[in-house]
Amino acid sequence: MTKLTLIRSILVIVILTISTAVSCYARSAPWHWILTLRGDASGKAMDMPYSLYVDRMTTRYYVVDTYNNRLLSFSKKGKFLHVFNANRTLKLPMAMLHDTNGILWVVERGKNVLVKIDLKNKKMTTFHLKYHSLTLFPDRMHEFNGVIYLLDKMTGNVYAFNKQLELLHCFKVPKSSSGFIDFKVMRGALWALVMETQTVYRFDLNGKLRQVIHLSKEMEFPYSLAIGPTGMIYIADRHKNCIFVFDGTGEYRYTFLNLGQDRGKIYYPSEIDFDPWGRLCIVEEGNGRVEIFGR
Amino acid sequence: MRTKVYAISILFIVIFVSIPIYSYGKVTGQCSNCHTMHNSQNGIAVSKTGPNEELLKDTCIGCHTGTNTGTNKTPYVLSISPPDYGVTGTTGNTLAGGNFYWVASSGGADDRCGHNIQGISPPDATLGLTPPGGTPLSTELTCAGTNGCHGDRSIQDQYKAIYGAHHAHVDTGWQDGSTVAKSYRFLLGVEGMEDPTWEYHPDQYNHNKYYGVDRTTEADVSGTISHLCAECHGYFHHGTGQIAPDIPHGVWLRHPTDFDMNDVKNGTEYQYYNGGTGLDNPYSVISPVATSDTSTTLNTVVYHQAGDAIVMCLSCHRAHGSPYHAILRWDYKAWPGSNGYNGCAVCHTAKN
Amino acid sequence: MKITVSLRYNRTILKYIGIIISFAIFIILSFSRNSFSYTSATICFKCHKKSHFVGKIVHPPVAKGQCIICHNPHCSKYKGLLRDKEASLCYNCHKKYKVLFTQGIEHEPVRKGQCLTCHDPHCSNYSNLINGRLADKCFKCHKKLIRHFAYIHPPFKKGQCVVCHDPHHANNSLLLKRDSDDICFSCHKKSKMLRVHKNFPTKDIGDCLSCHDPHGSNNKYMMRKFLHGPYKQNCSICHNKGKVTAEDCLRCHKDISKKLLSIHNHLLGAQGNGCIICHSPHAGDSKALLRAPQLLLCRTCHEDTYERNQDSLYVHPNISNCAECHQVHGSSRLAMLKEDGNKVCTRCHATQGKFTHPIGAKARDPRTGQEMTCVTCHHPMGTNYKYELKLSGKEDLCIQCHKNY
Repeated sequence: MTKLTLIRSILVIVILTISTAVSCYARSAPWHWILTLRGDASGKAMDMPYSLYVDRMTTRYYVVDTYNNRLLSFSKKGKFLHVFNANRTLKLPMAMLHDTNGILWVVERGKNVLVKIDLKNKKMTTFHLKYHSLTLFPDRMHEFNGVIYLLDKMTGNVYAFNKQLELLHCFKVPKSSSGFIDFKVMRGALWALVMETQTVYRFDLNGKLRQVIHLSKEMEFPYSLAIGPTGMIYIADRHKNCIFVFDGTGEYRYTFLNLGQDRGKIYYPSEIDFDPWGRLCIVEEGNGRVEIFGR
Repeated sequence: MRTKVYAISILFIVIFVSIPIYSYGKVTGQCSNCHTMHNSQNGIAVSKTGPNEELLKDTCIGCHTGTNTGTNKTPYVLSISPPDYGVTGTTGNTLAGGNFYWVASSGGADDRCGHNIQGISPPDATLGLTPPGGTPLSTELTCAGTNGCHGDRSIQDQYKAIYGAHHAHVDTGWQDGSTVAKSYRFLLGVEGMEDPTWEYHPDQYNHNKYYGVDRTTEADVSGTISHLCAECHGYFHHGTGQIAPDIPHGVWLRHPTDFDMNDVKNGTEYQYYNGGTGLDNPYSVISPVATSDTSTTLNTVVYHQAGDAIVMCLSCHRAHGSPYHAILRWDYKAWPGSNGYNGCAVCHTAKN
Repeated sequence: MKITVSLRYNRTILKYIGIIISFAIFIILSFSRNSFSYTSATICFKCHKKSHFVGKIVHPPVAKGQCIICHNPHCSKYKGLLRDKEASLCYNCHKKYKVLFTQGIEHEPVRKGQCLTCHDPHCSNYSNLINGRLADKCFKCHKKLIRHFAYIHPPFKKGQCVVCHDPHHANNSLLLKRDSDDICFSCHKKSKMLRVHKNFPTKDIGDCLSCHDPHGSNNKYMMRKFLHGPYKQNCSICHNKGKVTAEDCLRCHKDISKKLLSIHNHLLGAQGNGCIICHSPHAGDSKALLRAPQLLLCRTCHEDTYERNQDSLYVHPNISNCAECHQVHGSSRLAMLKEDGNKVCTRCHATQGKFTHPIGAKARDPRTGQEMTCVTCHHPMGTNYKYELKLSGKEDLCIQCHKNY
């Protein structure tokens, strides 16, 4: 064997070894883990966190630690900052937002109310929401341009309220299905997911249905959706414990992540969303944490 | 040629980097070989004696019961059927500590032939809970713990006393006694080097390396195997006027332990230890000696340097059990009859 | 000399050409089953009596004598010397059903690929090559179905299950061919039914199965066994002001109202009355007035969980009653369990509760900081590891946390 042949053979072996190692790491490419928000630094691990709110102005993450009846805040780098429990009066908070006037809005499942918390004046106001005399069960909540959008479990619709909680619009779920399971307000539209038909509905912000997107790949339990910066649709499958990615027409592209407790794996995801910096945040009820992934 | 050498070196580096590095000496194998999560399998309890701590399937002696073959990964210190001891315990299937068979109620049931350990035999019918040369124990002797030998003897519970040692142990190199896992045979504080087969068929080149200290007074010393024995059998090891008033000369009230024969070998019978001449005598596995040398070089010869011929308790006794009274390593009682053996003569060469 | 060499050379070439041609013929013939078909069937019928393959309806490959389309005449790893697994073989020809049948909920034999449970692949005296009387086929598995009633629905009596049910797949767990009302009105004309139900509080009629048992009943008009209190007393108790919503239900069922105030609840929208997705507001076969047996009901949405359970090697026995472990109305526990992951298991598994790996608030999973519970290691809905462990209990599961060992 010549010297050159020998060296070539060894180089091939080295390259193969390295590429095997890289391919193992690259299984969830193009996404990679950036950081994890855990409750341990507060003295207590999170227990069944349900949702996440990202405050663009203060560049903070707020995690709704539902079973522990509290809200946790973290810096953009994932450093734990504060615990808030409204003097231990919160009961199963499900969603929150911090509006531009510094008011904290919290959906409390334990009392089935929407609470308006004026932190400055230390004032709390409770609202029992109704729609045509029907008591609503608020679930998920988002804000856009001063309008509060709430998903209601009683009717399965999404409702838009102003800050005085006057009803502005109703985003109706199609009659053939039971109700929306999640929604997001992005790119000037409201996107809502129906689990049983695995369909995404796009409404304009006046409540008019504009597009019905049938997702081409069958999922087990689509539970939450996020719309990416380029219009790709991300669906968290709560039972399969992975994220399905579809293009804007509903064509399946790829799947990433899988079940587990280690870093970079998920267990019972309850919500996914993109933060203002393009990172995908996954709230994991089963693992009691929020994991943030980037490209 | 040089290129070839470089190339092959690179190849070997790649191969060895790819191989995960294992620590040798830790217990290996599947977790379920030793542990059970619920002590229940198919509706039947896994451990007949009830659930064990640390989710273990069995007690200490339960796991360490069997017949040694030289290839077993677990040392067996109790056998159900009579083990093969041979004449001096170096050619059969017993290990360095001997075998509890001869004292066990399931075996020989002779109190004089071993330590009476809880779960192996009832307390000594004659001595009760009082070890010879010592003060009474609060309970019967256990494998580990406050009333035992192995593990951390400041901890009452024997499982807690030995917690983590099996997984953390590395059986190569000098055990410095700093932790239970780093102690000789999990005897906290005792230093030494361990034979990888626990002295199954030991010889001059394959045996334990015991640590000893060449004392010049009767005061106790730490870290030696004899000191460990003395924690219960103290009168035989230390104490003012207990051992020898005028060390190393004068009258010995008790047989020396933790004393170096190098100090007295010249012109005496000890010079001819194990048939040698007084310099680099071959190490004897029949009547072994300790050394104060803490290097990882095995002491295959004695009288090579000062401190390498230290008499210790294990020079004459076994730690667990033997077929002979006083847990001696050989049958001194039957000597000079044909069935007896004079292991004393390994050192006391003029008295055979 | 030259001539000799040339002759030898030619012979060699001819020899090789001959070998190649023979080989080619062999390859072509061995793949060309059709060309052998008549001949091969004749061979088969020498031992396998042809009379066994004759019937009112004969499977076309059999009629054409194309036995070797499905069977390997020499050897096979499948029973009956089949060339492939049952369903895979069938879908080779019945291609469009391969994808079609996976939509919605599959009938269990279809899901398992056991086509021959119902079909005879050779011949039959029944349509669609059913290997016997259809009703006999159905009741062979569905043994628990009650067949004798005082008032029996004729299609059920005649064993005409496929009048209502699709034996392969459907978009509902009862495997009804289409919306239940559509099926009912296809025989019982709606106009006539409106006249018969003229005293009803609603202008329209529908949801027939909320009152009637489509198989039969010991009650007149095939009314289901258990009647909802208000339905029994007076319709206007509920139907007093427009649409009936879940709030109307919760007015009486206050205990359920509390359960709905949990992290996860089964308020399923449906424009305000999610209760009637699972419960019939009128009559039912159980006191809970469920619209179907519990397992079938849950499968409507949780078919994935059911399939995982069926496909797993090790499953928790007796899982037909989901409510045994799950709080079906609302729970603040993961997976809507009735209690935490320890208590819910140790109610039955007391031994394992008494002696176990550390669990509870003081024993935390180092990977997540969550409390260790039975479901940290076990997945009772089914796994491929013994004792329904999430990984092998010999070592793999342990070292997820005990990494240094």
